[in-house]
Amino acid sequence: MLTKTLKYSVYLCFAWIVVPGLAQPDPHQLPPLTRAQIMATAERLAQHTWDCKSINMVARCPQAKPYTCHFQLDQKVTGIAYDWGGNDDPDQFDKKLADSLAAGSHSWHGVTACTAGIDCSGFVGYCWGQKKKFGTVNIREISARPKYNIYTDMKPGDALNKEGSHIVLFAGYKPDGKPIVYEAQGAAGRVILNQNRSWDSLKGYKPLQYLNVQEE
Amino acid sequence: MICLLLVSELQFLSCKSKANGNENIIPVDISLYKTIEIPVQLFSGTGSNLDAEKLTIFIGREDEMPEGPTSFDVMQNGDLVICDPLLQRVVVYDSLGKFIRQLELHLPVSRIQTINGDDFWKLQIATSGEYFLFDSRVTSSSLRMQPVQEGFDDDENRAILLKENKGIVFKSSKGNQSIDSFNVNFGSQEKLISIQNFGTDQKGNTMVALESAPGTDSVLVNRIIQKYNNKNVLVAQIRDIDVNLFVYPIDQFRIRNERCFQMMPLKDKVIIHIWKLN
Repeated sequence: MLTKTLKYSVYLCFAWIVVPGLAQPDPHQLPPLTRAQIMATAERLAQHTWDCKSINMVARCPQAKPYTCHFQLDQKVTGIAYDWGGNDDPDQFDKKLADSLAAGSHSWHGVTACTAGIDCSGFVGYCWGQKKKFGTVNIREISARPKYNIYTDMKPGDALNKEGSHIVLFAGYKPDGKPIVYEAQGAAGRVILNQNRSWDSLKGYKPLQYLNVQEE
Repeated sequence: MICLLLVSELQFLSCKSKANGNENIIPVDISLYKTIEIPVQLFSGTGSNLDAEKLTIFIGREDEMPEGPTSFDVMQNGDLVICDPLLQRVVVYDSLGKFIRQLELHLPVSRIQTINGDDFWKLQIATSGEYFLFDSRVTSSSLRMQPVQEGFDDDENRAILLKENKGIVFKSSKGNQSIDSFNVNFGSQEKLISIQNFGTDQKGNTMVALESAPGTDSVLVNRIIQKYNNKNVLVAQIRDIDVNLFVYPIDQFRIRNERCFQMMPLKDKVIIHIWKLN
């Protein structure tokens, strides 16, 4: 799938100017990552398979609203579950499921200590090598705003971010010009490779580039 | 120059001009024909005490996208079938937006497409990506869903975006091995950023959706839908398309029964815009 994704990507070797975010660390203190490494991590989270057991369909801690699981009993799911506020990597996710935590949650459940998964900004942060949980606002601490043409010059591993709302990881362009993205999406309930996005569904999003990306 | 300007029927006519022996057709603007409004209710985490006749929207909190209806289709009699994944159901409304019935599927259906004269619906499940063929004639208590491998027709790439505001659209009809194609030239100050082929009807007309952008440093998009006749000539277009949606469905447009439908989930209602294409 990654190969297919990269095949669609447009690699234009434009030099660009990046506008740093606020309160940024020295980029060299961040883990250096190639774009291929970022995409491999995204693919790993989107392709992670797990079984939804009955113990993973119940949240065993106080919830703002009754817990309803996204998934069916014994469903074999591909993609780590969407968990609002979550930041679990595949190993942590599997361990939590084995420890009887519930698979995924939305904000309407309230932030829970008894659900497992990852949310949109946690996903992008993890793909960018971060263990700390970032949100769509403070992810600017580890990224910069590239000044390029979004519709032709984005590279796999950059992100499209709408502060306070959602963030996706750019994977490439389809032949018809539309974007291919990886995202931890609430509606899908998991991390997915999304090839059904139109540009207008990303209205108001701005590009971000990981500060210590290593161009190959 | 022959120019047909009957104002009342303007949307169906093209202005023809002859210059140097070549016939150029100036595409006419198709104006909005009709708007349907369907009420919505806000989802807050539980499906109980919700009104079956209303569609459902989740506003989302910090760092969370809003959610709502994701797909729709139009039956031959004009009825609308709309995915309401938050309540794990498909809802049927008549051509005026009046509630007819709901089918509780107990699965978050993210996409729907009617096939074979409305009797069967192809469905996709959000949380698994799987496709099912659903027999709409059966009642909700005896659902019949068969898993299928094949995705939706419009998943195939049938158009290619080229440089300099150009594109290629591939025409083919089922059972016909030959593939015809034509070029799209987007004559605008804005940059053409995507091109989508909605397919060719029995009369040979092809509908093409374009996205264009006035700038390139953040995502801001305009939409145009164009109609090409059976000679692959641009004859009409829809330009007054509202792109300010609260929730962006996977399937925002459908071309059915010689009409173009747009589903626009807003915070307080779902609007269906309809343009006549014939």
